[in-house]
Amino acid sequence: MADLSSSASPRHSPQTGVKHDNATQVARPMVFRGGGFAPKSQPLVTAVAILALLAFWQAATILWSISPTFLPSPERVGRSLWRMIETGELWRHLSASLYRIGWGWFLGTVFGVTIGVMIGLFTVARAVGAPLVAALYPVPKIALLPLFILWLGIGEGSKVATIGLSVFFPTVIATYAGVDAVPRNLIRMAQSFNVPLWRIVWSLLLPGALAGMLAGFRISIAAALLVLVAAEMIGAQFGLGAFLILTGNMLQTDKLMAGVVVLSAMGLTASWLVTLIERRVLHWR
Amino acid sequence: MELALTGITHHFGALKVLDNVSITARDGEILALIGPSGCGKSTLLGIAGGLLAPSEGQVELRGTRGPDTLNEITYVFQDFALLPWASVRDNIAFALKHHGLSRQAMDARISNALERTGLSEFLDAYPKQLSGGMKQRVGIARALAVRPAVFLMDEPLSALDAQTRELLQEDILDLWERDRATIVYVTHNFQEAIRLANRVVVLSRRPGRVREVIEVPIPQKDRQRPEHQAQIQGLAERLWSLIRDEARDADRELING
Repeated sequence: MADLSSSASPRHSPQTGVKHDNATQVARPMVFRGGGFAPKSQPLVTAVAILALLAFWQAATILWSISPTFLPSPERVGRSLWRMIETGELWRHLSASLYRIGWGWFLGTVFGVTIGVMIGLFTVARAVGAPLVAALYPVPKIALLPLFILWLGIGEGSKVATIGLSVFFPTVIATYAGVDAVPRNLIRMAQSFNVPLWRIVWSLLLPGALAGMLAGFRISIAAALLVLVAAEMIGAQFGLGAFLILTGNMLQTDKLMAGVVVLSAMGLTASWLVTLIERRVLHWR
Repeated sequence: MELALTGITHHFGALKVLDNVSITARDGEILALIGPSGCGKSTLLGIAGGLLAPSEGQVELRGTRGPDTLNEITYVFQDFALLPWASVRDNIAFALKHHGLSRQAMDARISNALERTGLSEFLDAYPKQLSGGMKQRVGIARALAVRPAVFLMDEPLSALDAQTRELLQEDILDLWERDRATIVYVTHNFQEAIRLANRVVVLSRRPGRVREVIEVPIPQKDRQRPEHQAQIQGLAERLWSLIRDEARDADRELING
């Protein structure tokens, strides 16, 4: 501003060009240049987009008379899903899958959290555990199924164990990362009040690590679903994986897709449950 | 109670941070520790409260503890160190639970501590809902609840804005005037030191040594009075002249690891 007022008549200044003179004389409004980078969720847009996609799919199968074996219409998929529910076929497979993934996830999580807390707490556990976990985490756990079949038999045990293992590793990592992320000054605070170790673990480290653990649950659920389907595809009479292989072999594409829808619903439900727990226990964030 | 540190020397690896520091916080006084950044003030306070083991030297607590003291030496932290998932009440309860108090005794301690820090209506609030000043009041209430004989305050007001700092200085003095607990008060703010302390220990740059101990001979409650301003100003200038050059050197130092 000082520059503007001091050069009272820049028009007559021989040093500066005409264009520049005009620019300094005009009072310009500030141009808005912020905004953006703040995407929001829009449930209505989401719903419309999904419906449009389904409508397009349905229309395409009719318009170009695509063979239902090659690509069944959403309507056909919906009908066969309904039929499977009515006849109890779905439940027969779903219950077998839920049993396996339930036990596998539970056991993997219990052991994973325990070992994760130990690695987060004790030097020896970390020195031994962390490299082992790092080495075994990237191994696709389904590769170990033959080994587990050898050890535990072809029954439920080998499948539950493989799922459990696939849950165990991401849980260990999420848990000890969560424990590591608990600020050390909080622990010093607890020590300065003579809080005993078990209470530091129970009332400080575990709540502090909970956010990381819950984020780990999302990953471990996805891993469990993957291994569940793969294991059931390899050797099971019932279960969603077995169902997918069976319907695929018999070219029952509509049933196959209905199975995929059920799997997606399982994943979404699990993820929704985690969100529900997060809202409940992490309300302080 | 009196807290005596004798011949404290401390190394972090090859780095010597404290060199033969001996200071005693007398019973019922506020002793300020002041010095340029990185002079080991906080390390010294960690050693004083048993959170750090010194390389050499010892810490001694002398005197008799009060009958309802649960924890003789208690900290107030710069970053408040509150459990973010716990309400104000539960944050204070965290410091009490393992002492096997009855439910009534614990509640009485909590409500007393909250009352003294003006937090009674915030009993169920969570830390994220509180301003910085209120968070530190919770930190102070938590310390009060265990009725310590010695408070170790590690730059308790450094994370707060200037106005809040002023308010909390008054609060801390009010609390202290009533109980006359011993307070060791680490700060890098020499005006704060002169406002609060009976004696100010000036530490040198790393490795920290005691450079000088300066007495502030005016009672705390009179220090705002106009007739003492000249003397206060003189003390402030003296402190600043002691710290100034070293603060500049410390400022220009590269930070290693």
